[in-house]
Formats: sequence, C-alpha cells, structure tokens
Amino acid sequence: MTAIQVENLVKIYGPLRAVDGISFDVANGEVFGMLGPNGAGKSTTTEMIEGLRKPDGGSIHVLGHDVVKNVEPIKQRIGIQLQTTSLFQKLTTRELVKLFASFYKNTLPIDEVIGLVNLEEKVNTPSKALSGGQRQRLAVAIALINDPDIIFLDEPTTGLDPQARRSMWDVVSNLQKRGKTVFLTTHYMEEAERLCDRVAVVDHGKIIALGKPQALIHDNFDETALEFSNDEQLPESLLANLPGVERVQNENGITTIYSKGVARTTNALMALVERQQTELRGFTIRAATLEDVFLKLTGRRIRD
Amino acid sequence: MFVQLYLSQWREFARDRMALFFTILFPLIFISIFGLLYGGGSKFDEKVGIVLEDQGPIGPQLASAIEGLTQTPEGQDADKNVFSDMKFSRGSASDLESQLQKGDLQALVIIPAGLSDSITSGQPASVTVKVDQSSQVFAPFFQGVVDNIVQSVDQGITQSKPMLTMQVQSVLSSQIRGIDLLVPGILAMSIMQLGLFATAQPMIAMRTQGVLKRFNATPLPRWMLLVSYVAMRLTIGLLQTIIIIAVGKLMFDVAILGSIVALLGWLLLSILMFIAIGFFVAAIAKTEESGNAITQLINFPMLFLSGVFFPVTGLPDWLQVVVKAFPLTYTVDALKQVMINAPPINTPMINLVVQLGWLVVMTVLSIRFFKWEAR
Ligand SMILES: Nc1ncnc2c1ncn2[C@@H]1O[C@H](COP(=O)(O)OP(=O)(O)OP(=O)(O)O)[C@@H](O)[C@H]1O
Ligand SMILES: [Mg+2]
Repeated sequence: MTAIQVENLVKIYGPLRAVDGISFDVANGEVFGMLGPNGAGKSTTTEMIEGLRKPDGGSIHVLGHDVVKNVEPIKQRIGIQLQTTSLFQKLTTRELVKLFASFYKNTLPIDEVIGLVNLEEKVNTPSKALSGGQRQRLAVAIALINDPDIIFLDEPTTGLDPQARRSMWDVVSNLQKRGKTVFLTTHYMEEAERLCDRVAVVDHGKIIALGKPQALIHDNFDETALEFSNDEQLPESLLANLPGVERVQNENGITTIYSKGVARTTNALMALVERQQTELRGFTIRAATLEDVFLKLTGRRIRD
Repeated sequence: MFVQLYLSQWREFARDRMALFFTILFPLIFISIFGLLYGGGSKFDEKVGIVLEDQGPIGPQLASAIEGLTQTPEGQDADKNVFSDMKFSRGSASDLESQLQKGDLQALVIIPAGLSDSITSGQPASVTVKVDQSSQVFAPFFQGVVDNIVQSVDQGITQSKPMLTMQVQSVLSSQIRGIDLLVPGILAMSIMQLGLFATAQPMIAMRTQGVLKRFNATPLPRWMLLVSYVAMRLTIGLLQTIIIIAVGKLMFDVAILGSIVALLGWLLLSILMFIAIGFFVAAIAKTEESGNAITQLINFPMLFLSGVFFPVTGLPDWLQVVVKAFPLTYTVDALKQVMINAPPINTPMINLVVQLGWLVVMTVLSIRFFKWEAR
C-alpha cells in the first residue's frame, strides 16, 4: 500500500496560493523529501498531510485513510516533528518524552528514544535550558516515541551543528533500514541528495521537479559547474562564448558556468582572466547538484 | 495519560515561582494584612437616626422593628447579637441629616410621610437609608438588614394579613468583625483571578507558543486535555481557598457560621464557573496581549462592583443591571451568606442557578470556540 497519496493539493491564504496544486505519492519504506526555499509551501503541505491544517482543495490519503475527513485513525501510526516545537518550558527532557509516550498505545522505551538523538546528557535539563539544536533533537525524539510507521520531519537539521546533523542523518538512515517511511523537508540539497530516495523540488507552492536526486541532476545536466565570484564582473557574453560552455548564470555576485568540456573551458577562462587583468575569488569546479537544478528551473538559489 | 498530563501541568506550575507567589502566597499576605487591620472590634456600636414622618400604621412598625435590632430574642446570648450595642435616636429630617453630615451618626433611616397611605391605596412607597460610606464594614451590613426588614413588612402587606405579624429575625447570630466580612470577598477574588490569570492566560500562552498544536499532532483527545487542565486548576483553586480559610481560622478565628460542606460546595461551584469563564476568554482571545486586555477588562469592574470589598448599593440603575449580570456578584453573595449569615441579596436558589448557568454556558461556548492553533 502507498504510505501517502496527495492529489492536487491546494491551500490558499488570502491572495496567496501557498500550496498550488501539488500531487505525489510516497511508497512504504521510502524516504521522501521536499526541497525548496523559504515560503515555498513545504510546511503547509506537510501539516495538511499530518491533518493539522485543512486543505482548500485536493485529497490526501495516509495509509489508505482520508485525512482531510478524519485524521484520528492514523494518529497512533504517525510521528510528527513540527518545524517549531514548543513544549512545557519547565519540564525536563525525560518528563516530556514520558508525557508524550502516555498518549500512545505502543511506545519505545523512553531512554532508547532519548539515546537515538544523543540527548542522554540532557535527560534532566528543563526544555527551556536546552539549546536550539538540542530542542530540535528532543522534538525528533518525541516524534519517534510511538515507533511510528510514517515519520514527518519538518526541517529536522535546521539549526544543528555539522556533527549533530550527521547523527540526525544516521537516525533517518536507521529508520529507513527498519522499513519506516520518512517524509522530510529541507533547505539543504546535500541532505536531500544523501537521504532521500526521491525529492520533490518545490517553489511558490508548486512542484517544479520530482524524482530521484541523481536522476533529477542528470536529466537537467550533463554539464559540470565552474563557480567563482568576480567583482569586476567579466561580461557574460564573453563567458558564454568560451569553448565548451553551455550556459552562464549570475546570481548574487556568484557566477556559475555550466560546461561540457571542463578542461577546455577552464583553460580558456584562465586565459580570459589574464587578458582582462582581473582575479577570480573562490574558484571551484564541481559536479552539478540539486541547487543547480533549482537554479536552472527558477533562476534563483534555494538559500538567499 | 491523564496522570501524566496532570503531573506535567502541576510540575510546570510548581516550578514557576511567580505563579506560586500569586496563587498561594499573595492571598496569604492579603488575608494577613486585612486580618491585622480589621481583626479587632467585636460589635457594631454605630449610631443610627430614624426619621419617622409617616402618620399611618406601617411607619412606626418599621421604626420599632429597626430599633428592635438591639434586643436579643429570648433564649439567645446577648453577647452574640452584634447589634446590641447600637444606639438609635429619633428626630426631624433636617436635624438628623446634619448630624450624619458631621459624622455624629453613621446611618439614617427616613420613613417618609404618607407611606402608609400610599401603600393602602396600592401605590409603591420606599424607605430611604442613608449611610456614612466611610464606615465600610457597617454600611453595607446595615443596608442589608434594613432591606430585609422592609421586605418582610412588604410581604405582610401583599399577603393582606394583619400588619402586626411582622417578623424580624435576628440576622446575625455571632460577632462579626471586619475581617469576617472581608474573607468571603478575598475568597471570591482569588477564585475569579484563578479563572482569569491561572486559567485563561496559560491557555492562551500554550496556544500562541504552539504547545497545543503539538498536542493536536498526537492522539490525545481534546476532552482529555481539557479535563486534565480543569482538574489541575481545580486543585489549585481548592488549595488556595482552603489555605485562605485555614489561615483565617487559625490566625484570626474567622467566622464560618454556615456548614463547611455547604461552603465547600459553593467554593467548588464558583471555582468551576470561573475556570469555565477563563476557558471562554482563552477561546476568544487571539493573542496574549488581547488576552491580558480582556482579563483586566473583566477583573477590575467585577472586583469593584460585585460587592467584594464595598457595597454595591447607591449605583445608578443601568449600572445595577450590569452588576446583576456579573457572576462574581453571586459568588460573593453566596459565600457571605454561608460564612457570616449576611443579609441575602439573592436567594441561595438564585445564586445556585445563576452560577450554574454561567458554568454551563461558558463551558459550551468555550468548547465550541476552542482552537488548537493561534492562526
Ligand atoms: N497561517 C498562515 N496564514 C497566512 N499565510 C501563511 C500561513 N501559513 C503559511 N503562510 C504563507 O504560506 C507560504 C508558505 O509557507 P510555508 O510555511 O509552507 O513555507 P515553507 O516552505 O515551510 O518555508 P520555510 O522554509 O521558511 O519553513 C508563506 O508565504 C507563508 O507566509
Ligand atoms: Mg517550513
């Protein structure tokens, strides 16, 4: 059975179509990601699937249940981490996990869940005294307490340091190994590329690309990206005429050249730089990423 | 589930020093100060003037009934009649009124000319009571007593029985001091503030901060959340009122003339009523700021106009209507009746029905308008 089926989902806030006709399916055991910039409609979509907001159009089925009609039957089987989670301020980590555990029929041992997110040292700290990242991990722990079949993680790694982010990735990978379905949103392409079986790239409430991360990249690019910043702004027309160059994109002072012949393009670019008597800063050569997909499709970067 | 929710809220509350201070310590300080200020004195020894201008049979009857307050019914201890030391004097309106102005009298009862005539011809007539408002403890009490006397005379008339069978019961059977009068008010005040500050505001905060939203994402049923929330506030309310009563009793030997069970019943009812009102405020307030504004808008007028600390007589008619609508009016009245046998403003039945009515209506409305999320 499909874990999540979303069809033509719409949410309207005044003049804004925050979610504008989104459709996708998530298979059981899949890690599915929504990638998009601020305000793209990720949280709105997620919370409609969780039954916390009512859609203005479209249908949602989770584990076969129509959640627009009634979300109660599946609440025991899903785990939710909201983008911002507020809890009783003066209760400790353990007390909070215990409280939430009491709402469910089947739960994992409290210490096991706390261990999953590496909060053992903070079991007796009031939630008010936790750092932003620790609070985020506590929120994930609470989402896992009922050993759910589907876990919703809305930006689980925002605000985490690199090490905590990596261990959160491990948490997600382990969930996947145990056959759980994970629905997550993120700003980070690296995260989406590493964790997700499939990614929906969203912008302005619409899905602009959907598929396996690598496939998305290859479908859009067989080029390599050369990236640099250059204060004097080498004229785009010159760059576009260098050998091997497919496209040139300029954004926030960062120039990206997509090339099908890295060696030729690089040599010609360096010659050009010398001739123009200018300098390149932060020159890198890299494979195309989801960021490039987004840039190509929208003309903007995900994180501005 | 219930136990965990209840415990969590209790912890959240007990670890909050400010909340503890306002709910437990503040009423204690309050009652101690009032106890020290008004704990002394035992009987009313106020002087009251009576102006009898009525020539008919009813006027003199009223006058002597009022003067009869100093006499203790046979078989009762004169020491327990708080009015036994009062002084009455009769005289002309102009004379006695100037005495009242000067402060030589604390109250004045005017029985106007033609009172009996108008009543016998079916016209309504009224007795005027003027009180020195500076005697805050005595004034409302005396007004209530006279009102009772007038009413019982009135009842005699409508039943068209001989007027002489008028009965004035000894209204008080024990010594009443300032502190005894204040304790019901303090209780009523803390119950109301429990509803406003300890129920409405935390609920609004939980909603605007998103705590409720997180609960909504779990299988926790709404009724369970509300029941545990009410249970927790009810505990605080009972704790608070019992502390006030216990401290009042132990430190100042505050009067509780009615039955303890009845008192607890009234306390329970009004605590539940104000929790329901708090829920309603929480349901309609969108932000913490508007919540604060609404609670203050309810708090102050009720505090000053419901007879918590001073009498609610002498207000313009339209304001009387407003006061009649305040739930706190009925709380104060019920508590005063049961604790000190105060002259009733409403019958216990009315107090019961009105408070139950508020409780039911507010509960229904707040469940109807309950929201998990701020936007
Ligand atoms: N309750 C609401 N009322 C009005 N507008 C809203 C509401 N919730 C969301 N929006 C708007 O809908 C759009 C989508 O918001 P949403 O929170 O879904 O974005 P997002 O993709 O999760 O962004 P972020 O990465 O910042 O979390 C935004 O423009 C937001 O301002
Ligand atoms: Mg979001």
